[in-house]
Amino acid sequence: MIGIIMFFASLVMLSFGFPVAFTFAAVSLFFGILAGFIEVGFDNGIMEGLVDGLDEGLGMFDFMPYRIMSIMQNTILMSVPMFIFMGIILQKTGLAEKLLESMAFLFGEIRGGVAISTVLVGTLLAASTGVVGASVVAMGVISLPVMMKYKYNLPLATGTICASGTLGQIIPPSIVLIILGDVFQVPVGDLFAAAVWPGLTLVAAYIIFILIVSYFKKDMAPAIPKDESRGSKSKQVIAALIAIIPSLTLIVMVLGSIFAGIATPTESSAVGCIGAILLAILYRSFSIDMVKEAAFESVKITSMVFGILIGATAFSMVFTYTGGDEIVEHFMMNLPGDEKFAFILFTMLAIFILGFFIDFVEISYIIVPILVPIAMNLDISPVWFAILIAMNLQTSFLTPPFGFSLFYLKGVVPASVRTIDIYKGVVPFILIQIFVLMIIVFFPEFFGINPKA
Amino acid sequence: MLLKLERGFDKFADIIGYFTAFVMVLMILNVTYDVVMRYFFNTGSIAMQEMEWHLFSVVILLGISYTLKEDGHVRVDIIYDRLTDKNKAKINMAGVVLFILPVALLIGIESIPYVIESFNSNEQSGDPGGLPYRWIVKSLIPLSFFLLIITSIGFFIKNLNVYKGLRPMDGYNLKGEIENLKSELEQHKHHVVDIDGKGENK
Repeated sequence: MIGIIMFFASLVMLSFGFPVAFTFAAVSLFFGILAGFIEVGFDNGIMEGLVDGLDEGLGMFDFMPYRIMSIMQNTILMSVPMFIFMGIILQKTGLAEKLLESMAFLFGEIRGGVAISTVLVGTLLAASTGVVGASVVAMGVISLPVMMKYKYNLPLATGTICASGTLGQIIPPSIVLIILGDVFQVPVGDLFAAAVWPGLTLVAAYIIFILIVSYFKKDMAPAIPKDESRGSKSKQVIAALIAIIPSLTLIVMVLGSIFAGIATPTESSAVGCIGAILLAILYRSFSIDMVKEAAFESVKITSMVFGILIGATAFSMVFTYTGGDEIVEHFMMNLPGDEKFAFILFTMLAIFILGFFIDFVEISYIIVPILVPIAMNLDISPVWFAILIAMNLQTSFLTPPFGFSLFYLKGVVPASVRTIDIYKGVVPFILIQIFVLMIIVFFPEFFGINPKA
Repeated sequence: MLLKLERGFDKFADIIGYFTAFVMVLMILNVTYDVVMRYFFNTGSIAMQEMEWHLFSVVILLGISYTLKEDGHVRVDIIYDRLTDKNKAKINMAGVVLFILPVALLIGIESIPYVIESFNSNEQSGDPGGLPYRWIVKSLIPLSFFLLIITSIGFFIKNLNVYKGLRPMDGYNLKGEIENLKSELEQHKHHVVDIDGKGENK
């Protein structure tokens, strides 16, 4: 029971806002000591009980150095900083601007066209830079003014930007999938491959939604009048192709070598870094400062993830030691209805709700490890379950009021865009995500995923 | 006096930051080198491959301290975001004393015997041609947590200064980041104007 209390105590402590990594580690430490006291008891006198109890409690952390050592030797995690590095270099070459610039008007002459272009650019950025914040900001600064100028409905415009910018979470190479691969102990390449169709389905669903809305409500997303000064259609298409081909080649090579099983994600990510630098040189935007900034940024994000991993390790030690995992398992196995689907629906709902408050890294390292053994018992394929979780976590970037993407967009929109417009705008996209998630729950085979372990 | 002290600690953390960022670049080169050797020359050195995770360990372990100074560790900012600077500073100071210090001390102290054991047994890589002296990389564990103790004292002093009103609170990581991204885009202002369909104004 202590484990369960500890979990809720951690959530309460987290709400004060001190960094998550240290909060989890410290709360686990205190509860570990508390569990030690309870275990030993005070039958042999207060002093004896305190000394032995402390000993017992701290004893739970004896394996900490060994656990940290195994994290250090974890070559899967090594790809995290390198994919981040690659993404930041590509972002600094101005990839987002180039794509938005050349593609904004590609579909402009049909209704909802600029929004559709935005979704497509978001997809390409997701596969190349994968930096959610930067994508949202770039679209907010570049696409939003265009959509506003042509009188797009504000919620539709802002919702499209947030949703498109968040695609980096599910479309490989995504950091979430690498972390989940580590937690589930499945090859990251398998997860990347399995995420492709769900990711593209989501993109297709967004586009269909935009088409339907702009078809039925003519003033939501008006077509942009033809403008000869932008050049002929074929010229525009060529310009767009020139803008995407170099980076697309890079990303096809990086992902392709992983999918084909030629290289590990770690190897591909390193080569991708070098490739990104070469592209920057090609675009004449390379500078040493760029490398420096990208290195600092990837150090920061990686240490942040690693800090949480240490906190989570401490947490899971105490949680398991005090039998928390058995309680959760007992609870999950006794849900009403079909065991498997009850488990999946319950965990999806729980992760969805937690996603309002805590980050994907915490969910992946604290919550998911508790669920993995139960999923195995229920003969649920780890790849399937991991994709479901990744889809679900993506939603947490969009859910008001704490969704990450919303913060970024709020930071750059002109004052005439109200926060409520953004909140209203993301609702349909969240519903689409839940809808696609449900399809993957009920028809995994449709996406080429085998639901059995 | 306190502000000067704060700057001293900041400088210390920055040095760690520079070092880890440099090692990060080395790691990329290291992995790339191994890839090239393996796929194009069909050879590879076990020592170089082990070097990869040695460098990775430097990045993740020492980076924790630098990230603390940069306020880059994720927070749940539902309430925190709405607090006054003074209250934020209080939370941060309490967090250092109650959360960071106990944990860092425990792990730091507990991992020392772990390193000594490795040193005494002259532990080395289990693979032929692997790296010797495994205690060096293992000693990064206590080192990183002792560095964390030092930088968290700096973090405490910084927040004490905010509490005393000697300096304002730095903008939370996220907001600063959005500003940076925006200004970066604005440097290419002509793109933005162009796309707005006002190309003729250029």
